[in-house]
Amino acid sequence: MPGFHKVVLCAAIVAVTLFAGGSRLTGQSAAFPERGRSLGVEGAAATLPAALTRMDGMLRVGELDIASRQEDTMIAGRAHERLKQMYKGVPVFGGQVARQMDGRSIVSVSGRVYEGLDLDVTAQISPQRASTIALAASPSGANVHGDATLGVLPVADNAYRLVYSMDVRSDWDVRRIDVDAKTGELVRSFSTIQTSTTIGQGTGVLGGLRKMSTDSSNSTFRAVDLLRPASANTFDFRGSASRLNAFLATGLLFNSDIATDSDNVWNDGPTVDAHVYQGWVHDYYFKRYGRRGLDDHNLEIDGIVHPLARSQAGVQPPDIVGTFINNAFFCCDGLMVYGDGDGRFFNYLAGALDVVAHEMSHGVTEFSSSLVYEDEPGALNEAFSDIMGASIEYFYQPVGSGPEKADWLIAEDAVIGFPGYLRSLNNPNAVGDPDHYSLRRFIGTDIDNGGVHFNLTIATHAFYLAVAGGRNRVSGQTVTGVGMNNLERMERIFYRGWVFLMGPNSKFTDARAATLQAATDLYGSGSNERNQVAAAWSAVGVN
Amino acid sequence: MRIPLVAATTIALVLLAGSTHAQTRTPPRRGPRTQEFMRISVNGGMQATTVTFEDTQTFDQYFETGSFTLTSTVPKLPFFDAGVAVRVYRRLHAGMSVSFIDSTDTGSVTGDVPHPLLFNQKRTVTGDVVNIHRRETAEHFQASWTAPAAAGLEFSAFGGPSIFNTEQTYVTALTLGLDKEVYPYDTFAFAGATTATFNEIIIGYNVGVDMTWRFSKHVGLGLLFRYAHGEKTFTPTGGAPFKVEAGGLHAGGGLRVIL
Repeated sequence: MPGFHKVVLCAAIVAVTLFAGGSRLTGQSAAFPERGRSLGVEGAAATLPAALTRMDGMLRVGELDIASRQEDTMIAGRAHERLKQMYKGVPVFGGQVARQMDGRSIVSVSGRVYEGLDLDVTAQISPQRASTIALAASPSGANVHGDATLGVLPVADNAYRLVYSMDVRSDWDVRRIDVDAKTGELVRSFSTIQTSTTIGQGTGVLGGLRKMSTDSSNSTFRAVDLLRPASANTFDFRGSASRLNAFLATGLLFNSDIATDSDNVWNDGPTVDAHVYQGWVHDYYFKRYGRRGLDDHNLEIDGIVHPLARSQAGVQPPDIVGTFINNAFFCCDGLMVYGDGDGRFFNYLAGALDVVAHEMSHGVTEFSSSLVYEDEPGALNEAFSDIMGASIEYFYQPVGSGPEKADWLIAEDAVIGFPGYLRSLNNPNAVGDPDHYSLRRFIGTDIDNGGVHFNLTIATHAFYLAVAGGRNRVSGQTVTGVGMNNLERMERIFYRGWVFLMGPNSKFTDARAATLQAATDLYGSGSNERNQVAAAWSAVGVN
Repeated sequence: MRIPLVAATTIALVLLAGSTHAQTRTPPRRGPRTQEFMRISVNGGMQATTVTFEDTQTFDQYFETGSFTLTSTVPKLPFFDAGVAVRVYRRLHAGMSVSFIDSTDTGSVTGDVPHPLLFNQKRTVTGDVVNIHRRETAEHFQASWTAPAAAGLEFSAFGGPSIFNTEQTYVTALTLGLDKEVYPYDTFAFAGATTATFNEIIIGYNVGVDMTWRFSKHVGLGLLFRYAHGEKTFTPTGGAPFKVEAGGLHAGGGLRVIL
């Protein structure tokens, strides 16, 4: 039976995410007041108008300073110099002249300088004091990035102020903040985050209409999500075996691999669902638990779709098909791969929300409990992913059966062969999975890493019983459950137990203890929630 | 220029009617105690009722349709009124008055803004929009019937068409955009609105009573109660129609000059 294998690829893949996408934090020039004297001239060498004379004068007295020189890559022999405006030794923010040189001749001058400055440039407060003022006006946890720069800021009404200018970074923002260097007053604050983020529309594998966070570049829309604190990219290997092999050999992803669309109306279902569901899962963890991405530090998320063409299912050996076609897996730092499915037993794996959630939850485990991927710890690792997979369905989808409905089945939107799903939380035995600890198998063997895709249902069934209640088939014990209306409470208990209170070698008894402690932490030692957790574990034979 | 033209025409007709009356020089057998020609009234008072203005618009954002409604109440306001009437037959007068109200207040906006990343997850947004302006310059054309009472008191009942030159600020769009959004986007903070001004003529009516106490032959004091009302449906360019109501109940008093 195919399973969700956490495939360990070659070591090179570890470096994958270093090469994906682009930075979302780039510099942005502030909108200075529309003032200042414009310096612009063509054919300067021939006419030497007043602007050039003025510029020369400013250069002589140090009011202009060459900040950079860049060779012209379009016209040989040309170079471009940027001269920043200075006043009494400090920069005038926004005052800059660009000078085009052809050898020693000036071809053109353009830019804007500010005139009529008359102010004392002696600061009355220290840069440290200015930073403290800026941080006081920022969200908690913010920090000043780099040094505060003393300079002259043109402000409204043709006035100028001596300010300390600095970049302040916080959880969701990077702001340029200017503090008056004489009075300590906050003069200006604006975000420097510059994006070309767009909202696209796409149709998923099963026909669902989705909104996609994309960006635009050169009139092409890309599956790059910059709207979330953890940026996310979806790569399309277009079923190319050579591209997959090159990736496996080098671990490198390139911007050219990013899925694209010409009109931002996306029709490739796997790309749409992988991109959208990854965002949803990120949001679920944030909204439900306050978790910031897989590593809780907004690690970039990367997904690969079409790693190998569906048509290769009848050509490639079974282990390749089982890994890259009839499978989805989490690998390394925030990388997920979603197979196309062979079209007979599996549809596109990215088309199932719980599958995407399952794989990303492996990332959460990797950055928290780090449950070893074998035997009981491995089964608990898998169990957490299934529990989160089902929970996320209930978070986003309407309850019911059929496509894109929330239920207690895993991968029901990706499995098209009998029985139509991979695993069940409410009735694991229906497909031969254990619903009681006494039925665990393969522990200590090489089979499925000690039965990690088999024994997990002992824990997932305990979760189901703790929520919905019911009678365990083997023990005969009945659990009341907290009820579906309180599903969120049980999600929080199991998340807390798995993420904060378990370690790499935790076993089922440890999972019981961890979730009981989590229930006590969250709802009290005598709470119904704790009682239901205890009863559920007992019902599945974990004491 | 329509209103001044209409007003001038009306005044001319009224004066003409008065002139015609003067030419007949036939005193009525039963009428006012004096052979009056014209009544001039100047009033101040309160518009005693409020008028609620609502402007509902829809907009497309993030592949869904959102909506917002501006609700603004024209409060009870002072009004100023001046009028003239001439006697046309016995106790029947024809005349007109002009009233004026002006209000600048804050309106409230309530809207549903689509979620940028999820369908069917609209966010409710509320906010205030300042400088919602209402100005009404109304011309009330009236036919009145005056009945004398004891001790110098006179009562007049009047009615006729009204023309409201109405200015009303309304909201054309909410300030939206990804740069106004904050992760995780489940709420949307009101970020402002774009406004425009409706400036239209609304035709309506007015009815009311006037009580005058003449303490001398030509001068008196009066109380005025007038209900005027008009409404018009306005369709802004590219927007949804909305109704603008004008007028209200005016209660005031002032000087009466009888010539």
